[in-house]
Amino acid sequence: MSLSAEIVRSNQAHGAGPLALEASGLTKVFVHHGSLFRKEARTIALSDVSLDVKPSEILAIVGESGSGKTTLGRIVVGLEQADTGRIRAGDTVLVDAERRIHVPAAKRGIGMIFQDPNSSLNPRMKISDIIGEGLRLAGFGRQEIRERAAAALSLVGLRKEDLERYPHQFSGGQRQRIGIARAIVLEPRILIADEAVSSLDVSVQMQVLNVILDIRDKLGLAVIFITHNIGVVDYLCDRVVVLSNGKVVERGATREVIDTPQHPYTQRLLSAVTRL
Amino acid sequence: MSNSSDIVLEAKNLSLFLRLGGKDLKVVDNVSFRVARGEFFALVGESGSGKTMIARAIMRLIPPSRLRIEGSLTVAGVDVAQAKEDVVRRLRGKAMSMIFQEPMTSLNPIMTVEEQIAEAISTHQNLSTAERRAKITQLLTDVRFADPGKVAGQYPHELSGGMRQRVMIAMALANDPALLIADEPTTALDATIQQSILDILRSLQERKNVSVFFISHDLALVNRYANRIGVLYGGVLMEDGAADDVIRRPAHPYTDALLSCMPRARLFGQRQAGIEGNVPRVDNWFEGCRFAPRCAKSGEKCSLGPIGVAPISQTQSARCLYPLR
Amino acid sequence: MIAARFLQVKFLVGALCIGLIALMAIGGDFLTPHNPDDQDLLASLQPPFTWEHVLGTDQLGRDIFARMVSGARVSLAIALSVVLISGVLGVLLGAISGYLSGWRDVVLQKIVETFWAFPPILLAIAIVALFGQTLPNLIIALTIQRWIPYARLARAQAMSLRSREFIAASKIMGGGTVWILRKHVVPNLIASAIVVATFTMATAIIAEASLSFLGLGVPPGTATWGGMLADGRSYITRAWWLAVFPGVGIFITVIGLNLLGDWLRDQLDPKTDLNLV
Repeated sequence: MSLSAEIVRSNQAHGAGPLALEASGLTKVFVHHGSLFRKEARTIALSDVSLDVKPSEILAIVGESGSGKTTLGRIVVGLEQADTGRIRAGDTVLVDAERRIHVPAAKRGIGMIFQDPNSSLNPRMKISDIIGEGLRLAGFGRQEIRERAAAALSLVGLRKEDLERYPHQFSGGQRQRIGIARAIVLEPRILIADEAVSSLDVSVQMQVLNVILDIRDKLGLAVIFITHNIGVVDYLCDRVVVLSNGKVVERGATREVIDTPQHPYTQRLLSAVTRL
Repeated sequence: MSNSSDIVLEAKNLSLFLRLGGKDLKVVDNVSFRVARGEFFALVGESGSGKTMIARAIMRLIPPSRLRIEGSLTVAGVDVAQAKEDVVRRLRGKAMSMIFQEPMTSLNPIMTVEEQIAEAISTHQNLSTAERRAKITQLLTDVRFADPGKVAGQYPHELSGGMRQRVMIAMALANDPALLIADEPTTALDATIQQSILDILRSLQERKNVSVFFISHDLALVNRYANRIGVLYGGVLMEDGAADDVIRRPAHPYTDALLSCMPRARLFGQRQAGIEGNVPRVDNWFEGCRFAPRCAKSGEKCSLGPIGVAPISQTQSARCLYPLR
Repeated sequence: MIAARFLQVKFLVGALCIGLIALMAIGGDFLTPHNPDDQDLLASLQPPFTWEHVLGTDQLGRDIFARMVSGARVSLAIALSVVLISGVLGVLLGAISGYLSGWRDVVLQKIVETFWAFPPILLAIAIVALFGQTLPNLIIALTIQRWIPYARLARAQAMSLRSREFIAASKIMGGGTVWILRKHVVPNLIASAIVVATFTMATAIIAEASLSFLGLGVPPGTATWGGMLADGRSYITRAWWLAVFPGVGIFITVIGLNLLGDWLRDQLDPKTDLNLV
């Protein structure tokens, strides 16, 4: 009851309509089984995490290593299962841990882009096959796959001819853009970017960030951007959620959180970051 | 002009070539710089810039069979480019030492902290057990461990990343070197830990008059701590100057472009321009200025041949035909 | 312009050796008028290097060169089948085991350990002796352990591939286990499997020759190099050509395969990680 009241309030505040994504009460515990040499160990990756994403907004999930931000991304996209909690996208229930509902990743309408340009594309596959893989799994025909793949490539600033080439023929920034094309060709409503520019050279990061802004503007996607880089948050994201040790410690509009952080952890994080 | 005894590290027309069975690949192109005693010099570059190769070449970590050195690379008066292996070995740990990016792989997992630092000490010094223990405690206190006694008895896997890096620094300083080479020591660490490590380095630099040669890809990070900054791109030292000058009044278009493409808040939803194009791959270097294809200020002359050094001031210089100052 | 990679000694010598043998096996018939089984007792034990019998004749007057050609075919055909079967089996089992882990991996590892414990030649002899000297049994005997190196390599590679991001990407897009194994895991294993194949082909040839030498190989009567070696053993002082030529044939084939395998492995090895610059 109170949850839906909250949602209504935030909608009215920003006038955005139904939420692209709503997650509440997410918890994930990793158990390392005991053996002859080790006791059993439990790591609490996420503890009662909630967040919401408005349509076409870019939400940052900020945290250091061990904060649970990567686990959160993997749970939302469907690579991991939450132990408790619920996730909804618009009117559809994606996850309801208590009722054991976990919609398979391919049916969630959520795409993902990864951190490492050297590991996110199969080196033995042509770009057309890499981008078209999801469409093939969904049953699309060859001709249609080609057309959609070419369209996705041009949206990220690459050319149709590049469909015939292999990943090693591209630079890191270009490979990240190919990864973006692969995700958007399936027309997701939400895109999750897990440290998408952290492994790129600084002079190239901006290109990829601008591509993300482009596709947000053109396709109206919502983006969840997982990062530890405050400059990127400042540039790209509308709102921020700060995670520490699996819990949300602060959330709000980017400007407010960065300029006037309330929580001591956020304050410490921001003061450690050197910005010019 | 500084006295030659003040210069701890000097590279003159240094070029490095990787010997790759048949061909030699040039990875560093005619680089010259000098680091004075007690100075914090940051060498900043992106991938393919050659910065890691320079760091490894100073300590001669890559044998001559795999790395060809042209020009001179002098540490404490010894040219490591020409010197014999046993001469260089005596320098390592004593005149110069190094800390690396991955502390987990640099520490021996089956030795305690105390044993590892002791090993570093006994390579160059002959101390009694009591003296050694005192020295180890002092070193651990210097790197800001609140309980040196406890840490000394621990194994690397019991320590966090930041703590392991501090142990590495303690080991590196065990024999009071004049030069500490730091190869991206904080890249794998969280922002809050990064800052504490750099604070430690800076304080050690000041108290012990150690020169720090810091390799990084992060201009913003080194800005707070470096006295001088060198900017490397495509194997060439594009700009070299006092930190304040390089950051606030850059002379080379690349430095300027690099600074302006660091993401910051968008005013009125405007876009920030990145730098068009890609960093030149090491196996694909061309003649002339390697930044020219991406440079807003480049002209025809930039592609003709190697660019000479244009002195901007007493403390700043840039390899550019059209410097910004 | 021929790529520099082909102008290396390993490749040229290896390709030359294998080329020679392959040529002989395929086109050898045209180079000699004789049949491998034609006996001519009057022409028994003729020395080589004559126009009539280039490599001489054996004790039954059969032309050595013709028998070499026929033997080459048999040996190569057997070796190729062995390599193909063991390769496909090994790569598939290793890929499944490495990618899926869990109980399937444990079971496979136990199977590997069991088979690997037997001395190879003894096991092969036992199989042929127990189950009969037929061609299928010979191939089984030669394959029964030869799949293990493939499986080991494939398993190790599959385990490291498992954590690559493109595998996660495929899962998100709906890729199931079979799809991922087929499209992503196995194609990345094939290159190193081919390198292993060149080496196991060499050992397969030697193993087949050894079995034939012992009389346990291909059903008697067919010419094989191992069999010819066995025949020639008793004549080694009087008529060296009976044993030496098949021996040289085996030698050239094995060296050629080893050199090619070495060259292939060099090609696939990243020499320096240029990202470290």
